[in-house]
This record gives sequence, C-alpha cells and structure tokens, in this order.
Amino acid sequence: MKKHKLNTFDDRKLFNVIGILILIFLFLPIFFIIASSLTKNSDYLELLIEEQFIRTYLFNTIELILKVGIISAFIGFTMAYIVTFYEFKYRNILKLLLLLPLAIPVYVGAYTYTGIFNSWPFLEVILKNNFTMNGSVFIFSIFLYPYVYLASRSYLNKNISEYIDVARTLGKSELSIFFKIILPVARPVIFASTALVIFETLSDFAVVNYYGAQTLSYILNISWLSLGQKDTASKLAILLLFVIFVLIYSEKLFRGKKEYANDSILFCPYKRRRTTGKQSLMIYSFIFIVLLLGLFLPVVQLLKYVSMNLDYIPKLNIIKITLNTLFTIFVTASIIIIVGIILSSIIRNYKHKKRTILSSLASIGYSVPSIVLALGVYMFFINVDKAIFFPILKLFGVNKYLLTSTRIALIFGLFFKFFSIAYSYFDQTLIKTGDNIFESAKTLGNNNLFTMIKINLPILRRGVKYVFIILFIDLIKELTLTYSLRPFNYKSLSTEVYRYAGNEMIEVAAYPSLVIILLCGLVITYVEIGGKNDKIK
Amino acid sequence: MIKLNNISFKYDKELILDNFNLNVKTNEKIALVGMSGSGKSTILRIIAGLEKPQKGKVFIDSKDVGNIPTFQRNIGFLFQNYALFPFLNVKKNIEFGITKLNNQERAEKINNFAKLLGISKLLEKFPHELSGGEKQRVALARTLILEPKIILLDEPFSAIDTKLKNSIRNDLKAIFNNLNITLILVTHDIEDANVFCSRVINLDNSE
Repeated sequence: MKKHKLNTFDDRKLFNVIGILILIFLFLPIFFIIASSLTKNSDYLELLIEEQFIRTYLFNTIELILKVGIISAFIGFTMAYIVTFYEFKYRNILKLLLLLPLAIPVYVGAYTYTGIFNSWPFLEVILKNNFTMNGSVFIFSIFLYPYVYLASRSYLNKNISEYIDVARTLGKSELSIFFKIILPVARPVIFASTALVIFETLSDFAVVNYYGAQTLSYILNISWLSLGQKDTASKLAILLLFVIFVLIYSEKLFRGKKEYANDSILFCPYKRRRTTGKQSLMIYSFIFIVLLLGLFLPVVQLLKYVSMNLDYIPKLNIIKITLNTLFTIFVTASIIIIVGIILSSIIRNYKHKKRTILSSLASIGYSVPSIVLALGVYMFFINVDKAIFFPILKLFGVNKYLLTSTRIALIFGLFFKFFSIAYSYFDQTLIKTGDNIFESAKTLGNNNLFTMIKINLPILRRGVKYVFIILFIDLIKELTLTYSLRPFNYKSLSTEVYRYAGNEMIEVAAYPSLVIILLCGLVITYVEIGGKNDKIK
Repeated sequence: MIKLNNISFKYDKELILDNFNLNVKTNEKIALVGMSGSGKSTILRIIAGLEKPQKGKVFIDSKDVGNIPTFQRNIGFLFQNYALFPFLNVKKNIEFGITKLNNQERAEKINNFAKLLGISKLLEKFPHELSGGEKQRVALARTLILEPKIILLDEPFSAIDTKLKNSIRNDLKAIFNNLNITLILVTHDIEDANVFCSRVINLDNSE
C-alpha cells in the first residue's frame, strides 16, 4: 500500500523539540520573576523587612489559607457526603444549587456582602470579625467550597462502595465507616480540591484589598501596581511561590508510602440511604444555611441593586463589554485547547518517570497565583519589547511598546494560568485510553504526526466541549490577570465590576456581576443537567 | 443454618432472583456456580445484609435476620478483588475489624492468623506492594480474624494467575478443612467448586 510522505517521515525529533519549546515557553514568566528577584533589595523592601511587615504578611497569608482551606473543605466535603450517601426530597435540585456559588466570583461576593451587612447588621457581627480576618475567610470559603464539593462528589460516587461493604462485614457501624473509611479514602481528593481553593485564594487581590486582610498577594499588588516596585514584587512573588511549594510537598511527606486508590477494583454506584425525620431536618438546615449565604442572599442583593438603578443600564454598554469578554475567552480557550492537545500527544510518547515529570511541569501554571503570573508575564513582554521591538519601532519614529499591555499579553497571561486545565484533562484521557492503541497505530506504519491526527484527535475531541466549559467559567470570572495585563481602555465584565466597586459604585458593579453569574450559572446548569446524556459527563 | 426463603431481587428494573430458595447446613461447604448475571454474587450480598431483597426472608440459625444490619451478623465476606484498604498497611488491614480488643489480644490474634496464612513477613507492607496471591491471603486473614461462623467467598480466584491458582487453592482448602465454618463459594469455575465444596448448586439450572 502506498503511503503519504507526511505519514512516514521520522518526526520523533521534531515532536521532542516542539514539546520542549512549549514547556520552556510555559516557564518563561516564572523564569523572569526569578531573574528579577535576584537583584539587590530596594530601600522599600528593606523597610518592609525591618518593620517586620513581611513576617506579618506571611503569617496572615498562612492564617488565611489554613482557615479558608479547612472551612471550605468542611462545607464542600460534608455536602458531597450528604448528596452521595443520602436520599431525600429535592435532592437533585439541591445537588445542582450547591454548585452554583461557583458562578459568583469571590470579588463580586465581597462587594455584595457590603450591602447585605448593611441590611442585616447581625450577619456582619457573625461573619466579619477577627477570626474571619475581617470577613475575607468567610467570602473565600462560601464561594470557593464548590471546588471541594464537586471533586469529592464525583470521587465518592466512583471509589468507595466496595470498601464500605467490606467495613460493614467487618462489623463497623456507619459512624465508624465515615471516619475510618470514607474520610481516609477521600483524603487525596479533599486535599487536591482544597489546594485549588487555596490557589484561588492566593490568586485574588481584590477581596483582601477590599476587606483589608494584609496578605502577601495584597502587598505584592500594591508594590507592583501602585508603587511600580517590580523587583520587590518579584521577591514577594518568590515568597508566595515558596508557600505553595511547602503546601504541596507537605502533603506528599505526610502521605508517605500510602496509596488511596485501587484501580483494579470496579466500584458500583453507592445505593443511597433514605433519611429519617431527624436526619432530614439536619440536612435541610445545613444546606439551607450554605445556599442562603453562598447563593440566595448575594443574588437577591445584586437584583435589588439593579432594580434600584435601572436608568444606568444604557450608560454601561454592557453588550459591547460582554462581547469583548467573550471574544477574549474564545481566542484564549482555542489556543489553550490546541496547544493542550499537541503537548499531551507529545508527552504521551514518553514513559514512566519522564512522563510524570513532564506532565507535572506542564500542569504547574494553575498553582502559581495569578498576581505572580501577571507580574512574570508583564516582565517577559516588557523585556521582549525592550530588546527587540522597541528599537525596531524607534527606527520608524514610533515610540511605544508593541506587546506590553496589549490584548496579546493578556491572552498569553491567561494561557499560562489556565493551560494546565486543558492539558491535565487531555493527558488523563490519553492515559486512560492506554498505550496499546497508539502503539498499534505506529506498528501499522504511522509516525507521531499521523498518530496524533488519526488517533489522538478523535479520542480527545469528545473532551473539547468539557474543557471549553471549564475554561469559560474560569476565564469569565478571572480578574487579577485581566486587570494587571489589560491594554489601555480594555473593558471586560470582571474589570468593570472591579472598577465600579473600587469607586464605591457597588450598585453599578451589580450589572456586569449579574451577567457573569448568569453566564456561569447557565453553563454549570448545562453541564449538570443538560449534558447528562452527553458523553462529556 | 442458613435458609433463604422465596427470595426475589430486582436491580433497577432487572429481575436478578425470582423466588430463590436455599438451605445450607452448619459447617457445610457449598458452591454456587453459574453464568454472569445469574445472581450468584447477589445471593452472597443478601446473606451478608449488603442488599435487601424485595421479597422473601433470610434465616440464620433459624432467626430472621431481615432487620439485623451487616455489621452485627458476624459473617465473613471475601470480596472478588479483596478490597484491601489501600491507605492501611497489612497489619492495620487485618486488625481493622478487631479494634475493640486490647493491644495484647490484638497482637496475639494478628500473629496467629498471619502465621496460619503465611503472611507474617508482609505485615508492614502496603497493599500495592503485594502480589495477587498475597493480597488474597491478607484479605482472608482480615475476614477470618473475626472468627465468623459463616464465610462467603465471591470468586476468590478470579484475580490470581492460573499458575498460582492450584497451589493457593490447595492451601486454602487445608485452612478451611481445619476450621468449623459454614462456607459458600461463588465461582464460575466448576473445578474450584469441586475442590472446596461438598455440594454444588448450578444457578443456570435452578428456577
């Protein structure tokens, strides 16, 4: 049989080079931060160290992430446990509603609660105090717990039924099974999803700024965007990265040799127990409190703001801003998905440890706080501009940067942050498919390129919609990168929320906030209900 | 000793068991054989109390156990894939069901059963460090340490290499022959059934 030339040329080296280039590219922002942090300490940083501000910011950051982590893990896991193991009236609708606080960006939640506290002062006493670090712990926990809820729910559905059966035959009661089986088996997913909550917490600067919680993200933001101290910001960024590094590796240390999943066991879906009257009362009360604080009160407050300021709608240009936001999302998500498919197909060719290491490197972006990444991206583009484009443009009498503070810089910033979402999904899909299918394609005379086009692409195509949806939710809510890297006069839904809220016009910020919540809510509902029969589920 | 009376069981809308009856005498060792989907494993799960039949009754020692939860039935169950807890080492897996005993009693029992099943050297290892045969022995030790009067074995050799199967089967036969225990084995391999059991019930033929 005659084969096409493209089909048979040895492209292994080409694939390796492309893979390495993508990985290097993904590391550029971090590289520029490290390079910039190696400079001499500025007087400003010396002052921060001398007056022990850095220590305070560091301890505040640790206190914030510990409290947010514990509370969101508690709420998220408890909710996941309830909907997985108990059958009660309206379970399906409550299961969906419990996801919807994810549609509310934390900064929108923070601004909205100002109004809620005004209307319900007793809530301010309970939720805004020293323990909650002036309310920021509460805001992060109540709007970020769905990360833990969603991941735990899906994990408990798949990985637990047989262990519970064994424990029962070994004489264990339900309470004992919860503490001795369910919690330990779910430990990795609780930790991983809580880590996502913590990454989101560290990425934010708007909530800590608004509620005056003096964390590293807060001072980093001030040092860079308000005082222009980029080198000091880089050193603070390194400190923030160190906190994340300790967090990730401490779990690995605690885990030791233990494993938590057993791939050889096929678990059946768990049969839910009917609740007794007392159990139902407890379950409904708990869910009601969470939904009241995380969904109903903020949405009602935003609707109240909107209804009080209807005359503002024409002035806001909300359709233009929404389309602008959607355009950025579409371009960014497309680039992320294409590069994700290519890199996952390349890394799939590596085996064992090499593959694990390369995959970890490719997935690192999400764990880097947005403010740190924004700084790295900014430094990367400004250095490229200064070294290459600025001198060239100057020859033509143009005195401006070509890339810095443009939509290109913004899109690449978002790419660095969210690439790992697409990559991890595609990588896991290829791992689950197994190596044999790709190896058989090669033994049939196809090179890497053709195997990627003919085998990998059709396998990964089914997941593209799912990846796009996750990216959509993350990108539309994203504020830190968008605000820090946006071009002059660029307006997105999130930056408009921040701009109006920052100018004490929370009622006006309600409009773009509601658009974000509505779009995210629709997408989440589609995945939860509409996509039920879809293979992406 | 075990009596299943007119048991009917549906999973979703599929009828798995229809008016099924079974009588097993004390210390009798029986095998249930049949094709996939014939309801073999479901019978074990109903006896253990892991499933509730829609119709019919289960008696153990002439007592209706319909309302007795699994953890109070004192029935040993060896699952098809052994389901060892991956986050506990072998020793902790074995002592999982006897945590109410004091330290000395616990250690004594663990050592005895580890010796009986030839796994004394594996106590500090984690499940992912064991071979298929070793996992089976650990799971069996975990089940037998509770000294159940009844043991239910669900396809115990399905996860074991054919080469190892014969020697493991003979070892287990010797262990069970020394114990006064009622045994129900579910298998699709008639040879397994003949090695272990005095009576074989073929579910494909029984109505």
